[in-house]
Amino acid sequence: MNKKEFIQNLKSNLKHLQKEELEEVISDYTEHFEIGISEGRKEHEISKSLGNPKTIAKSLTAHHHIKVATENKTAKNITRAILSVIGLSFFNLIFILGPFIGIFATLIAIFITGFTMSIAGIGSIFLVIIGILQMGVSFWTGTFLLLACSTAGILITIGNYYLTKWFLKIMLKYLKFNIKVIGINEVFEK
Amino acid sequence: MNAQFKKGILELCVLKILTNRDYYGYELVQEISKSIKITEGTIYPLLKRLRDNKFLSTYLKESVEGPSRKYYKLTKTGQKEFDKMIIEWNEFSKEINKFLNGENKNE
Repeated sequence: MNKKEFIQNLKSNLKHLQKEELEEVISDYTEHFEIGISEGRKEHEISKSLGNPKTIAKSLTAHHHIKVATENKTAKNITRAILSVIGLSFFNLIFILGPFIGIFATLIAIFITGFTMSIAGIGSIFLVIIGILQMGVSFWTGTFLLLACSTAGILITIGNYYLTKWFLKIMLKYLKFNIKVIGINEVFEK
Repeated sequence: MNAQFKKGILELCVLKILTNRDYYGYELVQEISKSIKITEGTIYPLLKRLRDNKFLSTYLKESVEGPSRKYYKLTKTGQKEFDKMIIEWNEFSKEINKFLNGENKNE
C-alpha cells in the first residue's frame, strides 16, 4: 500500500467523524508519511509499519462515539457507541452485545409493566363504577384498588427511569475501559 | 502479558518521553519503537485519546526541512497522571519482584 492508498483507505473507514476531526487525523498520517519519505524510506515500507488503516479507523471511530455519547447521553448516541465498541473485536460481540440486549430488554419490560399499571389504574375507574352498581363492591374498596394500582405503576416507572439512567452511566464507563483494553493486541507486533 | 498491562505500559512510555521535551508524532513513534515493538499507526489514536483527556496539548511548528509539524506537549494534568502512574507502577513491580524472588527461594 502506498501513501495515497493508505490515506484513502483510512478516509473511507472514518465516515462518522466530523470534518475537522477527520482532517486532523488525515494530516497526522500525511505528516508521518512525509517525514518518513524525507528520511529516505519507501512509501509501502512506512505504511506497513503503520499497520492496517481499518484497525486504526475502528479505534478512532469507537473513541469518537464514546466521546459524543459522554457529552450527550441520548439513546441514539449510546447505541452508536456500543455498536462501534462491539466492532472492535469478536470478543465484544459475545461479551457486550449479549448482556446488553438482556439488560435493555428487562428495562423495557419494566417500563411497559409500570406504564400498563398506571393506565390500568386510571382506566379501571369504569370498572369501579360498574363494580359499585352491579356487584356491591364498596366505593372505598374500589377507589383504594384503583389508587394502589396507579401508584404502584407510577412508582415502578419512576424507579425504572433512575435505574436506566444509572445503567447507561455504568455502561459508558465500561465502554471507556473496554476500548482501553480490547484491541490492544493489534498495537503490538506479533 | 495481558492486554491491560501492555496498554498501561504504552501510555506510561508516551508520557515519560514527553516529560523530557515536546515531540512531534513521527519522532515520538520512532523513540518508542526503539524499545517496544509496536504497530506504529496505533500511536496516533492513543495520542488523540490522551489529548482529549487533557493529558497532552498540541501545537504546530514550522520545520526547516518542509511543512509544519504537530508537536505534543505534556500538560500539568498529564504530569500529575504520569506521577500517579509511576507510583502505581513501582508498587506493582515491587510486589511482583518480591513474589518472584520468594518463589525462587522455595525451589
